[in-house]
Amino acid sequence: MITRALRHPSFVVGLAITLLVVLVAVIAAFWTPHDATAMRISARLRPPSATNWFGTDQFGRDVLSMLMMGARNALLVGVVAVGIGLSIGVALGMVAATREGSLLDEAIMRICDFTFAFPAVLTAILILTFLGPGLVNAIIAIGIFNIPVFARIARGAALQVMARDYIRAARAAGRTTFGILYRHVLPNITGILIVQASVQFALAILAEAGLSYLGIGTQPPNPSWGRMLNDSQTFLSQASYLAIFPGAAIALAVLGFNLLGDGLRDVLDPKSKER
Amino acid sequence: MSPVLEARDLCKSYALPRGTLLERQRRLQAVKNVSLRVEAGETLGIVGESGSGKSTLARLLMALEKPDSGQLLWQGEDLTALTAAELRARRHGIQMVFQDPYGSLDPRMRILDTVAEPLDMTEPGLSREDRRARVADILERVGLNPEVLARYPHQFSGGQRQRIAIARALITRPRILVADEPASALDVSIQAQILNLLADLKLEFGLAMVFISHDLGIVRYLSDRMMVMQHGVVVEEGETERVFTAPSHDYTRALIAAMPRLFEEEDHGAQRL
Repeated sequence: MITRALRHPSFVVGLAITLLVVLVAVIAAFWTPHDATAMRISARLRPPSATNWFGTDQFGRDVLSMLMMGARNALLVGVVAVGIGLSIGVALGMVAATREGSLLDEAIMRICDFTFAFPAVLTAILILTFLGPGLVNAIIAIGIFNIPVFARIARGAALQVMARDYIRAARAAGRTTFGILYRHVLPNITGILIVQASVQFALAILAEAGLSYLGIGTQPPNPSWGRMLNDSQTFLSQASYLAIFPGAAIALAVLGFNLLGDGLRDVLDPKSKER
Repeated sequence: MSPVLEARDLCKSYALPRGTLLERQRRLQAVKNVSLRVEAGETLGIVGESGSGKSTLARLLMALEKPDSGQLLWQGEDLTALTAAELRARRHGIQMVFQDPYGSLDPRMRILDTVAEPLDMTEPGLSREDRRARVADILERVGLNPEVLARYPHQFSGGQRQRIAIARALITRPRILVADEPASALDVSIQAQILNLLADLKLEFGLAMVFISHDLGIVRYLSDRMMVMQHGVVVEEGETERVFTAPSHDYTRALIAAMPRLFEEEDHGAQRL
């Protein structure tokens, strides 16, 4: 499977970009070229140079350092928001699948449909107006919207798996419903969930950037790609690089995770199960 | 002699999907008033064409599905009246071999864990070495090299997979084995191997067996008594040889007449179903 994956172009490119973003975020945890929040008014709006590779912003902060810290921020949002969606969503989806057709199943799935009916970012804005702006609340708002996505996918995939004879054999062996879900269903739907997780990861990064752009996501002085974009608007004619670099960072990260998801979908496709 | 497994008037129906929202809910009666007894060490053959309710009956006998009505007596105890936990505790005595060896083994589970699954439920405290030894032992009995323990199902052929499934079914030493068309998904050359293996294991383990098939030749070869099912109903039952030599129901006669025969001229006398 690994050799097949490494021959898949979008998987390789997606993985490379993703690893780059992760690497940058990890480095940023220990080291950035400059302090990402240190202002130097004397050095404001400097174009890219040897000391400030990506230039400085209107407060003289180093753009590269801010981008690196922004990568950390984006990954944090992605990991936690997708984590919330995965853990709660998959649990709900699998429970719904074991009780297919029951009132509980109907209730879970109709609530999912209900949340699907609203545009995710718009409702995230609504949630943030109630909870108040901030990174943690933004993560919660994005996480909530990941729950129905995973619930629906987990339910559908679990239903397929649960129709197989090995599930009957497990029941005949005396396994409990929970044991069957944990030992048989979950391992067999992991591939689908991983694919969806990488797509949701990209969407989470985009959503955080959008919310921060609107000023209700990550709060200053913590760097966020979305807020950097917003800040750059005023100086677009003088210092266009202020918009280009965070914009490119968002595009690159989202592209990376999407390509990775596409690649994984092909590699993990159950229809070509040669390992 | 008291039967190992006895079914009394089992009925099972399924809701058919509605064509339109306002259409009346229709139900398919898959199994209707089926009663049967399986004595210790005896093989009961069940024949019928596809859709006759054989597989539903198998799942009912395994208590994998709840009947709409009727009783399922396992050593005198009604399994349909038990709680889920009580039922689980009795499951190791009745095991099953499924038709499709590609669907009955979890593709993500090693052979060791697959075969040990029923054992893990009955003897959870078993040490790793003992567990491994028990699995290796049963694999040898079904004709597989115990070196296969760490492999995954996709590395095996259909016949080998069915041997693995049989090993899993027998590891807890059940008293009865329900075999739902265990050979029909296999190559003809492999079918005989698996059927002979089942016949041998039946003697070795003193198993009672419910053998479900659409193939009358196989049922005749393996079973002591047989039942013929049509549209969810048992139309004939009796000693296997008696049913073959003197069938009393038209459907049975038609089935027997439709059996392929070697070295015979075209059978113009075959009755139509």
